[in-house]
Amino acid sequence: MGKGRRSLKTAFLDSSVLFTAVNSPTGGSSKLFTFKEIKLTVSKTVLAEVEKNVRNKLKSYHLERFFMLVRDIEIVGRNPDDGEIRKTVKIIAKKDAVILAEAKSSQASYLVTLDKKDFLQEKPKKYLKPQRILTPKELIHLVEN
Amino acid sequence: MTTNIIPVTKARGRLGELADEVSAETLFILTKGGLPKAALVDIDYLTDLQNEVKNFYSQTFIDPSLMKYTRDFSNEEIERWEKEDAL
Repeated sequence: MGKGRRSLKTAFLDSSVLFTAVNSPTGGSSKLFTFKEIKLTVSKTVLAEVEKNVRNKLKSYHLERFFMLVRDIEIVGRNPDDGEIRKTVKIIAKKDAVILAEAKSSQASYLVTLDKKDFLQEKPKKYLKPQRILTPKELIHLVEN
Repeated sequence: MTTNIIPVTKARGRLGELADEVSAETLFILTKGGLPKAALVDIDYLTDLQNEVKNFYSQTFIDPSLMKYTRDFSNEEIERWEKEDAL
C-alpha cells in the first residue's frame, strides 16, 4: 500500500438498500455505488431476497439494473450461521435477524440500512460494535466530509 | 449502429445486395404497410444478441437453500425506503 493511503472501509448493504438502489437511481442508495472510498458488500441471502422481490415487484429493466449493480459489489461467500441467528433473534425482529448476523460475521465497518425502525436502535447498535449502523445518507455524509 | 428502414416491396428485388450490406454496424428494418415487420441483421450479431439474452435470463442469485431466510417486501415498506433514501 502506498504511503499515506488509507485502506478501504467496507459497507455491508442490507436488502432495503440494494432493493432501493435498483428501484431508484437518484437516491442515496444508488449514490453509494459511485464512491471509490467505500467497498460495498452483500450476502448471498441479501442477493436472493432482493432478486426475488425485484422479479415480483418491479419491471424487467429493474432486473437488468440489479445485475448491473451487483457487478460492483463483493459477495460474502458464507451461508447464514444458525448459531449466530439464534443470538440475533433476541436482539432484533426475526425478519432482520439473518441480516444482523451476516453483517456481524462480514466484519464490515458499516451496516447500511433504510430500516430505521428495526436497525437503528440501541440493541442492534450495541451488538454490532465496533461496526456502525448507518443509513445511506449518513454514510454519504461521512464519506463527503 | 446504422439502422436503415426500407419497405418489404422495395427490399424484395434487392435482397442479395442488402444481405451483403448488413454488418455488426448496419441493419435493415423492413416495413409492411408503413409499420416495422422484420429485420435483416448480420447473423453473428443475431447470435451474439441471442446468447446475451439467454445469459441474462439464466443468471440468478436465487438459491432454494436460502429462501427460508427471505421474505416478500410490502408496498408500504418499499415506499418508506424510497422516502428515506431521497437526497
